[in-house]
Amino acid sequence: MIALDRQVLLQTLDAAVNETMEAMFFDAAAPVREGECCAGADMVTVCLWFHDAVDGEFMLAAPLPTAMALASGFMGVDNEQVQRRDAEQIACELANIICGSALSRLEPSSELRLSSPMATPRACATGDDVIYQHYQLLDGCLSVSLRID
Amino acid sequence: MAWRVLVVDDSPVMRGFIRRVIRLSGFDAAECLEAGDGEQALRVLRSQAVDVILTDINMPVMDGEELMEQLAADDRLRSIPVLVVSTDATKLRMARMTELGALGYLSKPFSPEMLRSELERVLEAGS
Repeated sequence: MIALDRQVLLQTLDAAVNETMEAMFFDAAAPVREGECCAGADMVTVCLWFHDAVDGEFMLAAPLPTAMALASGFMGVDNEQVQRRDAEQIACELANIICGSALSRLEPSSELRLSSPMATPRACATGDDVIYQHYQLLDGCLSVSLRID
Repeated sequence: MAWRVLVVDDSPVMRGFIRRVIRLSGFDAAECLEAGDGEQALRVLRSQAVDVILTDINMPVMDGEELMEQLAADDRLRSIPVLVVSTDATKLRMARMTELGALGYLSKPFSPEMLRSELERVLEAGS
């Protein structure tokens, strides 16, 4: 079981988000320590669970326009062609990649089991037991959170 | 030489992304075929010629591990080089897939250049 070192988890999330955004979304992600990206009314939020060496939940949230812009880039289609369902699917892929990348860095010698990500109407996770971070993208913002049980 | 590639992933958007990245990377692909799981992949492989397989691991119906086992058990398919593309970058999983016969392992996230480089390396290793 990993030690819950908040700083290490934040750095790991930053590295996973940055690498994913640059390599697969051709975007840049700058951590915004004091930002708040989850306050909008129309959000795309997805979550997934992981278990084995570490158990917990990962959530990713973005305002709908940001999620649609990310989907447009990932799918290689114009923004006007993207539906909310597409934005949710791409957000699920993004969550899966970031979470897998972060956990593989934290526990490279263990097994990794992730549930299928799914869209959720829940709000972003917050609280003392949750590590969360906001990122400024080229076109919008993104929040991720990690709760380790 | 232009290569025939089979992309195996349960996510249609990920299959579409990989096909697009293969094209953007400049990799010489004659055709990109698709399958949504290991079972569909075997059907494609038994009906069409494929030079290299890119497969995810976690898929419904038949996952990447079982697909590798089925390929190894088939005289006509076992020589097709396999590149695993997965979010799981743990040493245990990489070792397991290599043990099952994968010639390459690319963990997500990956860039177009990384994908092209691994595809070319796997094809050379399998020749």
